[in-house]
Amino acid sequence: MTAVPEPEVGPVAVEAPQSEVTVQVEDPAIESRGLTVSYGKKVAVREMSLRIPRRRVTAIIGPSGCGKSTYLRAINRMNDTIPSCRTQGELLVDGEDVYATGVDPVLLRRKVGLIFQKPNPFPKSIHENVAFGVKLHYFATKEETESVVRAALVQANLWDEVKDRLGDGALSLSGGQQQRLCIARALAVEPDVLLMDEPCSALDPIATAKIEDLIFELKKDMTIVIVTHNMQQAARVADYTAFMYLGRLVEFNRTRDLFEKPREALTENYITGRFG
Amino acid sequence: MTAQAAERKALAAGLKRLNENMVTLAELSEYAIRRAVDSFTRLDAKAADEVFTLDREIYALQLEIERDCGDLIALFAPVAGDLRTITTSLKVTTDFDRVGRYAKDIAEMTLQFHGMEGSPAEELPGLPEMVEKTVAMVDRAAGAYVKRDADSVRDLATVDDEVDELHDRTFSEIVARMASGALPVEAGARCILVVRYLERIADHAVNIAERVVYMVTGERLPRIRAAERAHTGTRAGKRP
Amino acid sequence: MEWAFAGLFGACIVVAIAVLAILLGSVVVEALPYLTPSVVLNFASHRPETAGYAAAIVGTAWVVGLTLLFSLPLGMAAAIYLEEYAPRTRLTRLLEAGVSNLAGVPSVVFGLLGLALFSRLLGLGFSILAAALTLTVLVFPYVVITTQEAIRAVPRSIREGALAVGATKWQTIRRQVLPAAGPGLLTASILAASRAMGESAPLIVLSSVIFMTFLPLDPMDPFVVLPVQIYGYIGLPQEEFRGVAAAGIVILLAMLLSFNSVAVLARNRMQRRRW
Repeated sequence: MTAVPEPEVGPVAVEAPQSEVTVQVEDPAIESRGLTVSYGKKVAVREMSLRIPRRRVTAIIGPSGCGKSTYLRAINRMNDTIPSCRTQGELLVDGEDVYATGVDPVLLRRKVGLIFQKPNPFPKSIHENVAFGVKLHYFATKEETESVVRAALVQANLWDEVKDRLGDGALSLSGGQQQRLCIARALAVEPDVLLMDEPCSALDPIATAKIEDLIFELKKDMTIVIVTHNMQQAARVADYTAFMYLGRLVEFNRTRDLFEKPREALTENYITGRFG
Repeated sequence: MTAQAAERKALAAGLKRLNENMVTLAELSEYAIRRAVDSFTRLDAKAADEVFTLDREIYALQLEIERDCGDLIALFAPVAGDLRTITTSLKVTTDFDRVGRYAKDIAEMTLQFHGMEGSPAEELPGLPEMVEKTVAMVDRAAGAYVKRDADSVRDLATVDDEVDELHDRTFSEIVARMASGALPVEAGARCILVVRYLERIADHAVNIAERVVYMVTGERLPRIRAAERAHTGTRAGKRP
Repeated sequence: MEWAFAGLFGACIVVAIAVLAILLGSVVVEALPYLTPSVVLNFASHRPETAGYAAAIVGTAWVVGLTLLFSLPLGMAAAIYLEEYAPRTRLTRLLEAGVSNLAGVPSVVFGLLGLALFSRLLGLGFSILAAALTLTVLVFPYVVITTQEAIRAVPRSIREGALAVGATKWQTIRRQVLPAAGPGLLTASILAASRAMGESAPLIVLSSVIFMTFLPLDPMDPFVVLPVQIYGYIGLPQEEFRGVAAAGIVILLAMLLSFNSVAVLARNRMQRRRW
């Protein structure tokens, strides 16, 4: 018997191949068709066509700089705040192109919430943080606002920890609690989709676990798209996983299949840690 | 070196050691079979003893491999090809261990016949062919594991069919000879057992081959009975 | 060697503070005999015993008050535009450069500008209004720059958080950015007020009367402010007027200090409440 060649350790030089989408998604909550996003001359997302299933968790993984955050932020048009950003192609949320003329990004962002990498509560009280979105869009009485705030905090698994101190400053909470507060803030406006950009990367393992549990519960009510660097997290939390490299979609499949037998060598090399 | 590269390097080293151990395990198993049959054919008690030792070594090595696999999983949370390699190795060690046990059982038979003149093996012309085929199957399966070559063993089930057929024929022959009195019943019964063990070893070789196909491609081959395979004319494992 | 440097720097501070202390001390000492209620309540007079600053105090209050009223909203609005709405073009940069340059113009130039524009062209004469408008222009760049800094200091993450929940740009600015920049905005106000209170050259140009004997009650009334009044008293021949002038300085400093303290206290309270 001959010896097997040593498994690869170093970086692998690659050209991004054609996208391998091996699972058909009916009735996607979000669909991008040939979406291309560029900042000035730099193209961050290239021709990305992807269907994101409804009321499931979809993870987007890939090495730093592969465009996954840009893609995520394109879904609720947060890239609009960057002046040099140009978006081409179509992005459909519930069947409607959100980049068509006449679409109001403000209304879109009510339907599609975004949680950031580093928790960013407002420097106000806990109650005011959660009530902010409500007060923006609705004329609510004090009681209505309070009940919405309570419901959102309950949904975000934070109510028990803060119910006696809603008037305290949001910044007095721990990192994990702040992130859940941000989630409650987003939930208060009842979105259909929740986008999460590496929500646990600034948190310790226990806080991370709490948020992962929360994601598991939330997906019953909404579609969740989570960008993550942490492969194990994607494997734990996501029903579907998309792998991006250099702005392109390389592979999209059910998480278990992608992690057990990836079809693209590039995917295999990334998830086994040979590069990234 | 970044933390990730260091981790990758450690995992690669672990996988390499795993591989080397598996190679050793396969070699030991193959050797055990040959020695066992040898001892039975020549009624050589010393060879039998060797087989007993080999069996213990096989068992110990298999435990070590199991522990290493557990460590690799706990430390590195492997995915994709690495994960398949490790889970395959875990299952395949069981198969090799069983092979070792059957070899030991065959060697035990030697001791049962000890003191008799002439080995009952002479009565069984079909035995050498069966042994050769069985050992060849184990060799092919183990070789496929080492070379990570799935295609070379997709058809191993068909070879197993041949071994099964040989087994059936030999079985009938032994029974016939026992009935006619040419072969003492006890000796005949023991011969049946030996032939049975060889057939089981061949089955384990097929198991190993199926696992290798999974390890390399992620595919799980279906289990098709020989009769069905003959009937539909497909060879198990051929890509549709 | 470290100690030598620490000692050197310490010595510099001590010298600076010492000079200041000596200066202030000598002024206070000279003012002491004249710090009576009458110096605050009396009008100007050519007799040192009855000279007072009543008109000047009220005049200062008027001028500074109106200046703040005009300059703060104007300056803050300009700063909000430059920071939040203006596109990053050459034109914007030109505007910003213009504003900074304005800060470097000698104050007497503003006085001449005010004279020509507000007093003569717009026919406002030597009134409080003309003075307030002139000082508005003078103080404007400081308000803009300080407010810009305060707005810039609000982290981007707060804006993004507000936008992500569906706020429009203006809602974000009004409900999150400006409140968060609160202390900074107050600083801008303090700065504006302090400058306005202390200006003398442009107001000399714009005042018709130095020794006023009545209180200004109308924005169109003539006025005198403390620095100018003090300057006026120093010009008089009698030796005693130096003491009166010193008393005026003390009054001016007291007004400045109390205004600053109130504002700083308010800012501290605001900062503590910011969780």
